[in-house]
Amino acid sequence: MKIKNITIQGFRGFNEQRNIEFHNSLTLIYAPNSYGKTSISEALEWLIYGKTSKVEKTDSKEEYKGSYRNLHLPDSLKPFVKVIFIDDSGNEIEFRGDLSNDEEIKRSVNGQEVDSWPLTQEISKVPRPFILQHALKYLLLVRPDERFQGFAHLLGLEKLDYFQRNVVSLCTKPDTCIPAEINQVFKNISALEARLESQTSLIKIEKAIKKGIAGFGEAYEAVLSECWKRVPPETKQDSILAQLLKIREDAVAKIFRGHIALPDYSGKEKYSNAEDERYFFATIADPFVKGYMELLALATVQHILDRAEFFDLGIKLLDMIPDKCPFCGRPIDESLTKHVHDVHKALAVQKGHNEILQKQRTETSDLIAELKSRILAYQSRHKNKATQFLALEPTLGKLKAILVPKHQTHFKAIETSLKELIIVMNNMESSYGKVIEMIAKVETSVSESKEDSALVKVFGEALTRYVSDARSYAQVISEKAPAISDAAQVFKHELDFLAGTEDISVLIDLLDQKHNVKKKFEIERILESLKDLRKTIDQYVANKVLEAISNELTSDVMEWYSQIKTTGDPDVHFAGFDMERTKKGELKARRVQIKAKSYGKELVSAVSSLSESKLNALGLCVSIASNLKGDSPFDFLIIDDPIQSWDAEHEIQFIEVIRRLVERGKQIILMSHNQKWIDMVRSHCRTINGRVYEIAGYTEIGPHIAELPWDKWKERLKQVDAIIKDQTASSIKLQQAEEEIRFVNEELTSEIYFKIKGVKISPKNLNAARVRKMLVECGVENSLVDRITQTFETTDIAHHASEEYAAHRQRIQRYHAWAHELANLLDNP
Amino acid sequence: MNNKLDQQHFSREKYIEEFLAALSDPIHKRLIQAYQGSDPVKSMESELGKILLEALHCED
Repeated sequence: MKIKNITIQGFRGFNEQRNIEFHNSLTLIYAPNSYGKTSISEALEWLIYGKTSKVEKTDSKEEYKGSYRNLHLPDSLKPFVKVIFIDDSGNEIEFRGDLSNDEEIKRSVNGQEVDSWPLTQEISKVPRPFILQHALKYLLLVRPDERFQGFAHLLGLEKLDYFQRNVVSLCTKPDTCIPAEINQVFKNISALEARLESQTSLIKIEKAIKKGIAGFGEAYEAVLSECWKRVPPETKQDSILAQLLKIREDAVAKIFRGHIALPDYSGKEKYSNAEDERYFFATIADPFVKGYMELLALATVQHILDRAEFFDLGIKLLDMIPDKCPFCGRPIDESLTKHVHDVHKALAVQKGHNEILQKQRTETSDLIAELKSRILAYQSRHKNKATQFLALEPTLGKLKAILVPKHQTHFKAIETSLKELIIVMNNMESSYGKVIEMIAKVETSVSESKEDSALVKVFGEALTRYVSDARSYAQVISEKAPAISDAAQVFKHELDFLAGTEDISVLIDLLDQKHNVKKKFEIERILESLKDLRKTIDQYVANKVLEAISNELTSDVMEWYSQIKTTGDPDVHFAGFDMERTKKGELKARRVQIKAKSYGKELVSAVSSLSESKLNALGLCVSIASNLKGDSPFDFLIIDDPIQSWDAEHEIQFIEVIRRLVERGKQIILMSHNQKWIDMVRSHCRTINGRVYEIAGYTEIGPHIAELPWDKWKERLKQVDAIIKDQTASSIKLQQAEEEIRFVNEELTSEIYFKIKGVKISPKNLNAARVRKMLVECGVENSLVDRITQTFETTDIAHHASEEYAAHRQRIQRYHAWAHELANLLDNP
Repeated sequence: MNNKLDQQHFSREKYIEEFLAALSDPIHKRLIQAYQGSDPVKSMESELGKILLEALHCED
């Protein structure tokens, strides 16, 4: 892919929309510093990658916030960058990036929105086609890890680098991935290990435990052995734990009876609470209220039922004596009999509602029963959590005597928790009582068919209040549980100390926690093994990078480096890439070594030994070499200000590098603040006939970009003069002269047209027909127009000679004279 | 062109496959295999959490 043109609006230094057309081989852009030159490369970079490397590499993203949008762009306009690429088949594809309000890029291809660019290679895997000064600095003059990242970036190994960093991060800091449940086990077992350490009688166990999983079996043999010493001889092995517990309980009961425990709600309990609350509110909101209110509505049909029964009886009697009233015996006429039948029929229909009423009543009763049952379970779940803890209240004095002053904080935790819990518990109990009372009233109203809408409202309010109180109660438990757990542990140890059961208590916990002790060791072994994983990935990635840099990159960079090297350079030079190694010869992780030699002797590092200009050259060569490697979709290379800190000789050498890159098929877009050097590039690459721009000024509307002719026609004519005068000039030189005459005629036509018509037409790609038309429009004499257009016959539109072409000195001399004739018109139109 | 790109997105990176082949520890393999999806780091971290919980809860 090459770039045909770029359009930029409101991005970085560009405010008003600007369009720049690129030559398919070489485009030069000259601009003094701060005239928006770099904004062009940044616009391209942003379009392709969604971020500029400057923003990507900064430590302070905040500092660059809002920096993509040009400050002076009117609010009504949106920043965008649009590039027409030309693919390998010559098709034009429009890539457009619009800057969204949240600083992201919105991509579209040929007007269709896309998530990513439709490229044949993943862009993160191929080198970036940008050679930027600040990027070179990031590549060489940075810390080793950053240099490694820079090389990975350059070699298209960014994803591998990212993969390594992520795996290493996991291996070195796995703590954040350890679930809370495991952390709790670790905490408990660590506390047990600490207690074990303080028991000199259990030293054998302690030593074995310290061996980790390897000492697990040995440790538990020792645990058993110590247990046997403390239980009655007749104790069976499976009763050891029970026996130890009894011994301990008996001993500590002499000092204190009761347990300090306030366990937090388990995940399952929390889920059940939430489910119950959801059910309460959903039921109250819909099925219950709806059903209850329907009962209210249906209750009004009761009198109809009574009337229907009366009419049933009446009809039966009327059937027996049709012309007399069945109740009073007075005669009735036909119309009255019909009326009685009609009313009876209507009542029969309404009677059907009775069944609905009964069904609704049963459903509502069932609903109330279920609601009541769940409220009871909900209340019981909450109440049971703190029953044991609240039972401690009468023993607070004893607790204080044991814990204070040594464990004042823990005692305070117990005391305040008790106070707070009693308050929230009382609130919950009170609102629970109200709910139960309301349920009873509702039940009665349904069973006695005395539904009351006001009752529903009060019930709903009572239930809401109750759930709110229950939540407050649960919150206090959750908040206090960790402190009470700590206090309980401390209290247990104090009791053991006072009762002389510390060793027995440790043995009990070791037996009780046997599974968790083993699991802790196993989990530690898994976490420990992550160090091996880290080592493996470090070696794997180091080898991958070594492969990339030593096999090909070194020789490729060396090839380009030798192009820039001058004969006068001292023999202190770059000598290849390697990976740093340990003393054992293993590759060090993420350490790219840049080797250098001074008159044949190896230096420690190129970075510390080479001059800035040589490091600059090296950075350029690394970028160039990596860009020519592999299967990149980009056939262009943006080079921004490459010759900083170079002397004239190196500057010229680098022009040769540019020429060679063009010969290798790269489209080069070269930017520099050095006008003299840009002119030199133009002059040395005259035959490429590229495009050259000058950013002549900069205001708040953006840069003022003007295209200049690639070569001044007078210079070209002078060169042709010299070739013609040289009788020894080869046919290649003569052909070059003939091509130059064509460029001269194109440029002259363009300038004459501008002078006469005031319209600027680019001399690029003018052909015989267009030149003829333009010259005729300008009133140029027909015979001269004919002669000038004749000069186009021997070269094709791309200025290439046809197969039958043969350089002919006399013809070229004629062409040369006609060109001079045309040139004269500029001075004397 | 889109198809080619999509295929690359869906297939696991070649270097991950190569690295997986170089690993012998089944736990390490599981971790690296988890390195996929829109947030591979999170996925790998979550896999480590799962591995540790499995180790805690599995019967001896």
